[in-house]
Amino acid sequence: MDRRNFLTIGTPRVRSNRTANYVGGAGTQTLPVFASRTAAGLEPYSGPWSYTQAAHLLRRCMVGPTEAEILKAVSDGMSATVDNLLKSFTPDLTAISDWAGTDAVIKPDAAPTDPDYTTKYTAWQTEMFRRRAKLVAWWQQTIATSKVSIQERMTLFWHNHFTSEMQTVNFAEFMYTQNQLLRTSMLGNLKQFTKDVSKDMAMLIYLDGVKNFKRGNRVNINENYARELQELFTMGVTDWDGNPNYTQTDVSEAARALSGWTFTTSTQGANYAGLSSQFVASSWDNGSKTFLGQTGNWKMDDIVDIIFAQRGDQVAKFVCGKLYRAFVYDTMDRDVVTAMAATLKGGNWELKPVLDQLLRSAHFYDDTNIGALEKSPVEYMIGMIRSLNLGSVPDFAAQAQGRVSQDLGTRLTNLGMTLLDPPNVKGWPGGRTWISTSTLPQRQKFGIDVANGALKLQRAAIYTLDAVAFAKTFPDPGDIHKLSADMANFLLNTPPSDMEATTLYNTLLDGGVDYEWDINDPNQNPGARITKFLVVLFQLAKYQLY
Amino acid sequence: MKRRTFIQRLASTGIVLPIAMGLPKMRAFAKSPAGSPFMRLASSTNDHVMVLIRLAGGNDGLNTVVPHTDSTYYTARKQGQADDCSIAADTVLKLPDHQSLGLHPSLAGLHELYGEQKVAIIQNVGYPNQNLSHFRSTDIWLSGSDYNVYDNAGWYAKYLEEKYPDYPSVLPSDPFAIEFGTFLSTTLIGENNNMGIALADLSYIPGQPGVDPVRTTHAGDEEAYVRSIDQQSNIFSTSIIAAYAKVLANKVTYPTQGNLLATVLSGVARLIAGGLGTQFYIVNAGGYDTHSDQLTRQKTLHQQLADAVKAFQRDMEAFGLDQRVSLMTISEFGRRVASNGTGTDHGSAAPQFVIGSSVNGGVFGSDPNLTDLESPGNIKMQYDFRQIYASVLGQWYGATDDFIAPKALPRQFDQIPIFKTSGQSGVQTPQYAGALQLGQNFPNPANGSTVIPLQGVFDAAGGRLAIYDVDGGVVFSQAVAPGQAELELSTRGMASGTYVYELTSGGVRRSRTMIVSH
Repeated sequence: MDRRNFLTIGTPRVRSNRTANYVGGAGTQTLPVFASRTAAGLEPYSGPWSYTQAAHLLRRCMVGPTEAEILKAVSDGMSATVDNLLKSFTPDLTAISDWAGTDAVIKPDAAPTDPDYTTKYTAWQTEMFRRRAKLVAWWQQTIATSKVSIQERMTLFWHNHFTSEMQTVNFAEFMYTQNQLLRTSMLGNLKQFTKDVSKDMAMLIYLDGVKNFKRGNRVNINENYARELQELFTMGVTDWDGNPNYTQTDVSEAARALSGWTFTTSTQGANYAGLSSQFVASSWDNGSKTFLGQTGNWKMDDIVDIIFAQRGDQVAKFVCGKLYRAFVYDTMDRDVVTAMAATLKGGNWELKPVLDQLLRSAHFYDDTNIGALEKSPVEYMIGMIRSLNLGSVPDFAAQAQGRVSQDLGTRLTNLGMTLLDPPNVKGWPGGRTWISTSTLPQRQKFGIDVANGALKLQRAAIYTLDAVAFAKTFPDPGDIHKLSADMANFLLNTPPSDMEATTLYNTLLDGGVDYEWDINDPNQNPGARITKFLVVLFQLAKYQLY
Repeated sequence: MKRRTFIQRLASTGIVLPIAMGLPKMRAFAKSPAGSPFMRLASSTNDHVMVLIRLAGGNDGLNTVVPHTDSTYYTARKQGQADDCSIAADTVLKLPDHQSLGLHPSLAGLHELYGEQKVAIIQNVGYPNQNLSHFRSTDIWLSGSDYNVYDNAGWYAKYLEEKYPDYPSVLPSDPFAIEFGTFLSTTLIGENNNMGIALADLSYIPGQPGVDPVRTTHAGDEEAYVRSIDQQSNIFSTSIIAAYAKVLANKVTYPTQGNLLATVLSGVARLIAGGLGTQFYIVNAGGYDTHSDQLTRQKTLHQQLADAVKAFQRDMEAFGLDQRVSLMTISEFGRRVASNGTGTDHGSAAPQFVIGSSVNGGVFGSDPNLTDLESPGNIKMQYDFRQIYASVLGQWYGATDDFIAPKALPRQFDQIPIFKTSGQSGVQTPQYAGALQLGQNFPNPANGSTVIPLQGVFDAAGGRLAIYDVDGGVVFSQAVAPGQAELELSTRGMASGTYVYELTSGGVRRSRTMIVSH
């Protein structure tokens, strides 16, 4: 036997260089590699408006749209649906209303010699953990119950751009405030957004802004934020041709200008109160700085203004490239991103026109891009919950009572995505890194368990799927051919191949005959048949994509 | 199937038998030095294992290997001031053979191993034109590229691609490399294929790969990628679980309290002891980006590192595997000489460790020069980090120069005599019975018959080759004659699945896993 042919697994996939952009771990800072461009650019889409396009738009702008929402988008048409998606909504704050928006809890001020100190301290710490768990649970719930809006997707996008890690920030109150800023600024003005986030308390703690000061002879100029502001939040290390956008001197000089921002109140040591920050002139490095070639006695806002003025093209391409990778495909189309950047910069840094243009463009609806993104763990798990109408589940609330091994937050963590705790300041690398030999079997097993109703929390079944009710959300559940095709088209990113469609149909039929199919006949056990169908479908590679 | 029935069925099919005569192709491979038969000819190999610990964030070298007799260090780190970031001279653990250096007081476990000459400290490791970005510098360290080259493939993966040119047309039964965590680092990503797997959990149930072709769209490209990961996870999970299940417990107690590194290393120890053929592991530890609260954070981080490494080393010694297992550390940069008040900003050169019984213990290089700095106040490099990589490939894995460069590394780097092993031969120290080698069976997965390459069966009594199923039951056992170079057997009676085969000779054991697929 020819050993080369001995174990043929199909043509080995030869990865082009571009794919390594996805490699994970600490992420990469490589020069961008561009996909071969398609004929379609940002000109308005004028092709057919059918289930395929409507589902694509909703899948990209939401987490787990339902069949009913997709059918409504088909009938509403593209224009009305995009208008609707770009509206924001006010999330339900009930679950965290006892503390969200209030000042941070202060560490007990009793001296350690106080006999009650340990009790007070433990109570404080317990409350801190409770609030942090509550905040994560609240966001998960908000995503799962989102209205038809781009809001949660955009908030996730900005959380992965202007990153902060709650385990470093420590205070849920500050992380909530930052999350609200991301939400309200999601389609606002990028330059103003950058200034606002620079002064955000969570950010000031996370990237050591509060430790960046010059007070008399005590010089504590800390470069952490100055570097990441330039490297990760605005322009990137280099432009597309590899020319450096800034130097180490620019980092050092910017750090001086960014100094002086701190807590509103600080009752003692490391204890904080007010939710907003303040500028303390006596802690600011008062003196001439030269940043990106501009000399003056700069402060924080000046640094942002200078970046956008001196490196406007780079900022626009850097941010639009990220938007492209989040909403279209993980490898950029040079011409399309360049055109998006022109819209952003030409529109004085307003974000909404960029998304509006993209979501109505021929490029966005190009067949090659439909179903070409890997689902993040949030998109995969919460998307499954939402799209199957599993709705609000006890899992969310359970997490707030202390982490248990099987709650949703733990499951998301096992897949590499803890909301409010990205792996580092660069955020989740996304794309292919989501799918590894470690995560893929866990993802598949989660789907299998959901379909089988096998997930339990404190011995109670959770995510219980009413398979028959789910099937009845489709237009013609009485026709097994149509039901099989419709469920596959709804759950998969692109239509199944002939082989997949046949396998799925035969699984649903499960030895029966098509003309006898009656979804209302309990003797046919339609629920079990639909469950088996889902088990097979969740193991298809296509289900990992959207 | 019950084991008894299984064995009876095996017997009835007449598993064959000693020396293959009629398979010239395979025989040619069996004559190659040793190891996996589809390896590129003329490459030598051995069963050495390296565990790479990545200290993510940029570990502060000065507070790790402390130059406690250098007053410049104490001035720069503001000793005696409110924001003191130095380690006091009277607390450091002095190196017995190097009076000007001492380890951080939390590194007691490492200090103990150093005293046994099992720790090599390579001073002032970096690269020319140090980049102070975490991400860029991490990419450089993980890939092995020059500072101005954006390389998306990693040094170890590229070495493997040279060594196993038929991969993945022919798959090994055990993964070449394993990274603990959710994702794969650049080090294990080659130019054409992922050369290692990411492993977070041993308890999953793999799914089934699809078979029909994908569309020629971006979506089709991504679908093909997901399918390939699906296939990999299926094949390797069985062999990993088999190895993990074979050794039920570690031989020493590992620290547990919040020490995730120790937990992961205890798992690595079980996989190695269980006979998994994987020769390279990556373990990630984070938190080293000490811009603030430096002293507090270093205390915990160093403690966890030293405790975990010591436990792992003692475990390997107890298993009798310490001569063929080593550890090494990497970190994307050291930290600024001067304190920023509560911590230190990004720096450049810093010391790295290589640890194990086969290591030449001691300090390589000079004490850090704190007066001749590079902008903005960082230590100049003495050793290029790729000198360590070249030494690992050359001395530890026995790679010849043409396997080290220009593919794995951009060019040849002067090796540092870190290991006691001689290198090219792949043969270990004399007291180590390392001559005994067990090759990967071919073809693998086996369908009908397979050949197992052997080497180094010099014991006058010969040896014995046994095959175990995943439950540990013996399904095949056969005497091996002295000098025998291979053994062919029929797998027709064996159920599809993963098996462990083990060669015993002169009191030394070697095992690997094979897959039977009908």
